[in-house]
Amino acid sequence: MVLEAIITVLMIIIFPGFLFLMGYAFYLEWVDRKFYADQQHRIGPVYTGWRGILQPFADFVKLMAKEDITPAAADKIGFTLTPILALAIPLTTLMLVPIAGLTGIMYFEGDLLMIGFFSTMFSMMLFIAGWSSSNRFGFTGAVRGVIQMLAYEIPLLLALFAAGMVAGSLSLTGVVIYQANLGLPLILHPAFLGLFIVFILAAQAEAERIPFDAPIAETEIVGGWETEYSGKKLAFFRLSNDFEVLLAAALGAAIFLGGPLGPEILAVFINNGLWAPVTIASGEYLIYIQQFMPWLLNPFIAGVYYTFWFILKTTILVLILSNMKALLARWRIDQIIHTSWKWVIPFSLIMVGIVLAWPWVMNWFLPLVGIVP
Amino acid sequence: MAKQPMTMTIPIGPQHPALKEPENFTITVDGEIVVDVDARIGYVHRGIEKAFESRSYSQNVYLAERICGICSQSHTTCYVQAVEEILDLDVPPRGLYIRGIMNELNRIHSHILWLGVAGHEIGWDTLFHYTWRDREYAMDVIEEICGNRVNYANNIIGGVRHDVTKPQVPSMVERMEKIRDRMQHYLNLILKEQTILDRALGVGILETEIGKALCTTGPTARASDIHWDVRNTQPRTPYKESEGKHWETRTSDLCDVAGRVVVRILETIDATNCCIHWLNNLPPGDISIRAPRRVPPGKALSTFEAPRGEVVHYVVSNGTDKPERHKARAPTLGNIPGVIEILKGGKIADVPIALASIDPCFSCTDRIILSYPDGKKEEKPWAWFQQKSREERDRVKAWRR
Repeated sequence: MVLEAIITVLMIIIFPGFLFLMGYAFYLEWVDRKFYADQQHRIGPVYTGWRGILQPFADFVKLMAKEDITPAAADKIGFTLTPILALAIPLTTLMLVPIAGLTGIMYFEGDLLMIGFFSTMFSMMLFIAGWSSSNRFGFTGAVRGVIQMLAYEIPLLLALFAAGMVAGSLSLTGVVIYQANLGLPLILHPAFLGLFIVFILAAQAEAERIPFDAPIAETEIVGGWETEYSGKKLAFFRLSNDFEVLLAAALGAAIFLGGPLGPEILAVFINNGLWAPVTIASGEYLIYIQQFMPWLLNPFIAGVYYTFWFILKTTILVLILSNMKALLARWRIDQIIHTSWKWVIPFSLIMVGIVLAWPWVMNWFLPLVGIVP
Repeated sequence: MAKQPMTMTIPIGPQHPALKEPENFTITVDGEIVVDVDARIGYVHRGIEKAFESRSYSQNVYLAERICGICSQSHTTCYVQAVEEILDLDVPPRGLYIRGIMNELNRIHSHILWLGVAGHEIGWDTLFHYTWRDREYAMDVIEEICGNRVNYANNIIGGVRHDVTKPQVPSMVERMEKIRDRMQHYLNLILKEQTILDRALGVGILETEIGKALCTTGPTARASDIHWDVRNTQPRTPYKESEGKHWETRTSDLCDVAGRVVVRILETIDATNCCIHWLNNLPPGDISIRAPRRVPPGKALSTFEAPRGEVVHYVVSNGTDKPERHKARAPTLGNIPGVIEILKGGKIADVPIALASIDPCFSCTDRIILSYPDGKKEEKPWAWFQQKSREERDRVKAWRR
């Protein structure tokens, strides 16, 4: 009992908790910067560490050491609290994501709802940050941020809940276990391929990256909501943005690519006899592992194995996000809203409709090709 | 009760990431719509016209070069043209051709630089980095000709200083062809890329009539379908022979940012064509003739089509080796009334790209104009200027508070 508690605390603090996530967020920023630089015919960070891998960390340390100015006109409480909360919210959400195992550090039925709530709260934090800095550019950026949130929270939540509908569980861990038992990542489902595109767009908008960086558009409104922030507070916001990118990649990996699961799930799929009706509780994956891959039951090997696949998948997702950043120009806020409400939201609603209709379609189609589920 | 519009003023500048040089545009916005713009120029007044009057004609070439850091060749060309006109010098054709090559290289690197900055203003840094990489070809050619990259020091009164030798030509032509291919690629790219079109089409509209009334010049005017190019209206040697064959006055009837992009890219392609032709067909002979130190009394107004528009230099000589009066007008000054009209009615998000679309070079424009309402001209002592400077500083401080 005591040992379990200690292990849980260690998991939260060291692996796969705060320390690991912080290092991994810096790593992803490095991947993002290097790839973005490569797309632009630059070299990117070079000097700190192997090919500049420590550069994001060096930038963080440098910002922490810089002078921290609070404007006289700013609302002190909001101005001080928002960087901390903006850092805490994505970090807390990441506790719910399966990284080093089939389950997150914390999981419970309904944590998808909590993820949706936290992602909205994160946007609200950025709004309060801009609002309380009492700056005209900050105000403009904050309002733009909220408008963008209204446009891209809904497709994001639709993508999350569609996965919940298929898995029959409102838990991210449940979605991953469902994919393990089914033996296929959800992206192979035609509706989820569409929802994956929607998710990538929404993730880019959540992290306020090009083409959705209107709230912090440097050349237009100086720095948007983060104009007045400096020193430690700015460092916290930068780190929270890294966490936001990591969270987007981790959610995308968990929902669409099977999270920390490796290619062994394909063997589960074949072992199931293809297209077998599975549920979270039916446990085909665990049975297969016990039978054919008992070494994966060792918690240390499993930790390394699952983390490897998690890192691989999230890195690929970050490369997709960086590619988008390099290829596109910044949209105006009205164009963002138009794109979202005219195209992205109707498209994601249609995809959710397909998700709902899919079982009936398959029940009709599979017997025709000779597979009896 | 009538609905009162909720307006807010947002200062763009003098320090703002969208502006590379200090200039203030106080924009009044209603929500995201710009309803009014107030421009305030004169932050980098350098007293350059006064300095002209205290230096000799040959020293002034270097001073003219430093009016602008990008279109430096245009200013010297314009200035030496004016002095040569007073002196009635007959510059050898080879000198004029090399001057033309330098001017077109200047136009190439200025337009490519602008294209990159425009990409940066709409958040597409990839275009910025690609174009600035390609710009290096033009910069290298310039460096090979005269040894410098920014202030070329190639024009002198009576010709040019550096010759282009035969072995230099093939590699220069090759690089010009590379630039031409790349610009053609960017033109195709920009006309297809949807996010660029979203940010450029129908943004920053300047109607032809308004553009004419406000005396806009250069690509800004030509993108508003105003057929005006000094190389065409006052043809001089290398341009006269090549017009219609290697370059033409490029206009666009789009009247918006997209039109300005297209006009500039097409002008760059034309400029590479001109350079290739002139490099391959340089007339033989001297590159310069000797000019006397003293200039006979007289005055001359010279104009030249710089990358940003029409440069005007006006020189009055009094028979000594120093000019009596010198007046320089940079093209951006002519475009500032136009840009106010461009900004009005647009969105805040479009302000940077609409401002950048005139290719502003604010520091070149700043001159002091003293007006004498009572018609009595008087000499102002130096202390008066210092006093004005202090008042301005206090005004800015009070405004910040």
